[in-house]
Amino acid sequence: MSLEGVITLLACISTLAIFTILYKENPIYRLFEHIFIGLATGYGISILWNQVLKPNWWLPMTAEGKWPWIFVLVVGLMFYTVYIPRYAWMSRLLMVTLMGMAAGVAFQGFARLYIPQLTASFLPLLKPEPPYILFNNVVIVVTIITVMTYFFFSFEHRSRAVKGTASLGRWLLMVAFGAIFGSTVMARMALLTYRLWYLLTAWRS
Amino acid sequence: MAEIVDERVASHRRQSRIIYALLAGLMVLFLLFELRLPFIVGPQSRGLFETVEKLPEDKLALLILNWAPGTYGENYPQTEALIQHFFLAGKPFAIFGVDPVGPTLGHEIAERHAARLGKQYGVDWVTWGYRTLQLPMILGLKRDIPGTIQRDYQGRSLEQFPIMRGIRSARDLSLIVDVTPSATVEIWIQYFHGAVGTPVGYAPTAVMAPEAYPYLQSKQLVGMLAGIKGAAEYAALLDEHYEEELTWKYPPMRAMNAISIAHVLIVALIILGNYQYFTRHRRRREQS
Amino acid sequence: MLTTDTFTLWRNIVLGFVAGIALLLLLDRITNNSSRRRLMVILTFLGGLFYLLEFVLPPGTTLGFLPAPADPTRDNALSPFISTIGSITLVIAGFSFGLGLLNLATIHGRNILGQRSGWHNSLAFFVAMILMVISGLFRGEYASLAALYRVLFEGLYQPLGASVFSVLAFFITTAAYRAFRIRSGEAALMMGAAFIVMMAQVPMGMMLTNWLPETGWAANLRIEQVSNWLMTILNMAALRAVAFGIGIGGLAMSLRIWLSLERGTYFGKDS
Repeated sequence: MSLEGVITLLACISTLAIFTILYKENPIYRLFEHIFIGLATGYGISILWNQVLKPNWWLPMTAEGKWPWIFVLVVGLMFYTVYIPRYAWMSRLLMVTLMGMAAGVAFQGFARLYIPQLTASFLPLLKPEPPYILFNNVVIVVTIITVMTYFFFSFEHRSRAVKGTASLGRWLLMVAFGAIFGSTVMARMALLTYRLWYLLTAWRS
Repeated sequence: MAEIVDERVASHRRQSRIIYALLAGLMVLFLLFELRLPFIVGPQSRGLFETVEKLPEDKLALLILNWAPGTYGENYPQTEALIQHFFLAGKPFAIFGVDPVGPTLGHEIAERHAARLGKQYGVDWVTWGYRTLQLPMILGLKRDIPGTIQRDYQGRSLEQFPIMRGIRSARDLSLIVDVTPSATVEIWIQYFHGAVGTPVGYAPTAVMAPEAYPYLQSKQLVGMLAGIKGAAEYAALLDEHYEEELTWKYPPMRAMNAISIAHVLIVALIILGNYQYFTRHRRRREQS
Repeated sequence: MLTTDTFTLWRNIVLGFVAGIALLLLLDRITNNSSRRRLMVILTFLGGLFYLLEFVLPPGTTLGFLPAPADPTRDNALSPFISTIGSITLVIAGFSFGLGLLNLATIHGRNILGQRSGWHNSLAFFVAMILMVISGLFRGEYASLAALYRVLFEGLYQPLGASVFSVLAFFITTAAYRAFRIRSGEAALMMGAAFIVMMAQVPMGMMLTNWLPETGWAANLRIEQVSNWLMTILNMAALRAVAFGIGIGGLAMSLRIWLSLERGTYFGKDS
């Protein structure tokens, strides 16, 4: 049997092995599930070395003579001090430094992501636009305000105005959830369709 | 009591197996037979298509593939559609990813279509490969691409490839398209579109698509391929615009027919389930 | 053959490693809980401050002790360090992969050594992982390993990954029959929106209103137009409001982390 034949056979067997869970929990499914986790871990390791650590750390250090890169390994090993209770504080030191950096980066991210969203929410409600655009603008603004009111937990929704607004926001949120559900169904079906297509057509190639 | 529970569990299992068989059977039937059903291309896919058509050829498009085999059914045809378009339109692009598998799969797709369309690695496209997702790395990428990426997926220096000449920073990118099952597009919107105005396109799985509409409305995204439907729409647009024959490892239009019947089945089951529930509920109320 | 240059390089690497470990051990020796907490606060603040300053300082700004930027129209004094720090954090993040690996190895190793039920599955995990690592690392050098890599990647890894997620389609179908009950007005609205979106996405659904004209006011009643309106107007606005909440929460959290106001495993006392 050729290499392609072996690959196709294994692929079909693996697919059917996973599908056996639909009948009931069984040892074949468990075995292939563990094989998958092992392969995913092994793939992650090989790609990490080939495309991240080797070109960005090992080669500069050993082939280009930049020996100070060894200190990055020392810093990286701080992650593993979490297993040694006496030195576990070092892993926290590294984690909080990285978190601090990420927090600093997040400020500029917030400005660039949400400020355009905010400005795009200020839509004309009274200008002489075509009626359907005015209608859409009103719907958008009302929806944003009511849904945000629904999520205001800093104060109690006591007054009728606030309660009513929040209630309307909840109803409008249901439309978004329905849209998400509809999209989720298509996503799941697409994944299944691909596997069925593969089982039907793999032997042709 | 235990017998009643056992009987109920067994009944549920029987029902489930019937539903599974029905779903699989109907989908297989619709996959086997090619049906030409009406299909309308949405404005989101068209927006991305038209953006790619108008890309300048002296800049580099960046195809970011952050997907793994788990979302093959949606992200694979999206990637295949985009790569074919880049090749047919003659737009240079690079393949990159912050997931280990995506760039590998993207490179394989690019190689297959490059052989068919007479395209060359290093001239028409380049694969930067995988890098870990770290915000400082992203900032480095925005500022200094050769200094941050340095080598391609096989460890070769990027400087040797003609396609990388003159590509220094995010300002030399014509477009970023993120093909992903997660919300990584926000990173590119924040640090590339927000900082230097690089256009960003999005090809998510259908689950993530509803969350992208705010970015489409605020023009932070130029277009979107929503799941397999987006891939099918893009395929229809490619068919309309290009005479060359398109090839698909997994044809999105055929998939849409099978998904159609699955959706009809789901709607029917929801209606049936609710009908049975309310009938039983009314009978119980009448009896009590 | 080991040249003088190679010897010097490796000597420096080894000495650098030993010096780095010695420095960490010294740090452990000379600090106590309170000074460690202070050190964490300082490093967290400095880490965030660097990126915040790089963002807010105008182009062309110089800081006395740092070299002037190469392109003052675009960069400030901190900008040249962005790619270096980016490369360093990239590599550091790469080293963190081993944490997950160690965890998995511990769990499955215990299963095998203790001969627990299903230990052969844990053995399969290790065999698959080792074969994938070896074939992935050396496939460029040996044709047999390149073939093995293809068998493992295309024959097992890809189909298994795709199949594990594809079974969800079956579960969502049974859930549709058993669990989706329209018991309230809100549920009815949600299901109504879901039906419209689901049917508008597929050709069979589009056929339902294909008989309506493509232009004119009646075209707005075609299912794909109704769905598009739901997605681009109602859904967009609702999710934008949700995103604002998430964004403000995220900003507040970032501020709390940066200023070390947060309490928890990484920020509090030793457990």
